[in-house]
Amino acid sequence: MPARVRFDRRAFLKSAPAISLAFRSLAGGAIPKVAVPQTVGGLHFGVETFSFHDIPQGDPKQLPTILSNMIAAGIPECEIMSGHIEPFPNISTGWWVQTRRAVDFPKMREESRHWRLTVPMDYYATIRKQFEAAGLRIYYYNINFNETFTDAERDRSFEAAKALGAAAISSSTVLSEAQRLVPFVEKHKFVVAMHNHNNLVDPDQFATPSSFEKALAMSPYFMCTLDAGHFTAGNNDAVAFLKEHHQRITNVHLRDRKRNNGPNRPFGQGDTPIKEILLTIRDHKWPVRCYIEYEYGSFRSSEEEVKTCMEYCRNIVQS
Amino acid sequence: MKIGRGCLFLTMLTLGICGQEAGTGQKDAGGAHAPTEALERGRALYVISSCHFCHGVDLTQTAMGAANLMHSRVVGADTNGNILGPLVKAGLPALQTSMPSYYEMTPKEIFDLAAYIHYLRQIGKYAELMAAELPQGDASQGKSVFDGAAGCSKCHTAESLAPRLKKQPNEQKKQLLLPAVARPKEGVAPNAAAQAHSKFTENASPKGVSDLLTYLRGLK
Repeated sequence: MPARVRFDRRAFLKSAPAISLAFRSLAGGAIPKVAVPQTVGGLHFGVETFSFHDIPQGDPKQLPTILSNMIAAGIPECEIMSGHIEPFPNISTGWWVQTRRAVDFPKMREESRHWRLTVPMDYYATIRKQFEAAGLRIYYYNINFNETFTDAERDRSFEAAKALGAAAISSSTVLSEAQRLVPFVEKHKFVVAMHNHNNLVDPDQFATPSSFEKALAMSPYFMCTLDAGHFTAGNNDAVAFLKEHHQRITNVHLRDRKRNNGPNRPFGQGDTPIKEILLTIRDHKWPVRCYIEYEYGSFRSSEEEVKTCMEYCRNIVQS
Repeated sequence: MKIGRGCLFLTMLTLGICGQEAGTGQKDAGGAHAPTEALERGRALYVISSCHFCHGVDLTQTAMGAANLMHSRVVGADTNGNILGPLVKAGLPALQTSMPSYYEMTPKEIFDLAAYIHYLRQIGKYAELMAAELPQGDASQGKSVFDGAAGCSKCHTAESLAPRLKKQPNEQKKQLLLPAVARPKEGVAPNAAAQAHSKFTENASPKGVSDLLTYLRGLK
């Protein structure tokens, strides 16, 4: 295990805003010509590719379908989840603790690790080129770090993110893993944005303002992917958190959940203040990116529903 | 929870416009259409509540660590939503990616949802059991099943059933399991016998089926 990095608090406080600004500037300068408008109402919209969950994993049409769906919805960038890039089931990566009890999990985990450590970086670069050829962009690489990762695997994940052309990693992870990631973000000078859910029972989970704040204090390279829906389901105030921490928020995930661990609903039918979030970002001109994450139930395809979500957002910010 | 009558109506209207009746083998993003209006209500709840997202359209998916509902003992013990209802309403908020709390679901919606889940289990378990190679059976264990957990002796005597067994083992399996598979009729609620048969198929194992058939064969 790498030695815990000690931070000079004054140096940290001085560097965090600069790193945040540098991240946004670098990302902004690298955007290629896109097939769809880069901004809507001054906001950068994207999609978490988890939204396209009706595409069977491993289907060879997976990536081309994601590309065409993004163009159809008028969305120029994405947070691509590792499950849409790696050729093994998500449960092989150890993120869901209960899946580690499966008899064949150790073997699956070793195979997934071996693949990650040996796949040439050209594999990721080729995927990047597919997006660029379509006039689109991978903005974030979503990989869920957890305690089953080796340090070599953590390291390689940063290399993969860079090869994909991502500006940052977004990760559903836990505070203890964030602590282990500190030397890696420092080494790679690469932002990892913590993504929250709404488990209020386990203090290691990202679910409350204080859990985010603990991670932000560990490194200036840590930021937040604020999932507004999960945050609301955990009975938190997403707008208040946005206003207080916007400089350390890379993107917001837009979904509309009900409070009290309530379900996902079509946009506008839950308790999540999506409209207020979008207008706050727009009116303050904050460079917080707005990412659709479609997860409510529907008889329609994910392509149709993501389009509907994007239309909902477009109508708000262009009002 | 108000599903939204408009949503359910639109679903049924779409089915009508397409000239499709539920239960004709047609599929959509929520899986195969159910054969009756009541089960279609349950299916709509299952899909609109995103249950299929984690548990699959056939109950066997375990995405994000979700339970396999096809083989769940908790679901197997449920009758008309008496166990599923409280669980669905409470959700599982302490998981990494929580199961939401469907606290707005009404008792009628829970009844319909449970009926649909049990229907899928019966279809799925019937297919599994018919495809399974049965292990060696134990007649005394089979008698225990007949007289005990399966509740067969409440309505039948083994001596009256045994002569009616067909010759082929696979045909015998079908005799035992097929009447239990939900073949619902529009507007007709399953009676107590149908419910008992259905529960047996839902919860049976290849060993249990083998034991029961071995017992009955011994009485032929």
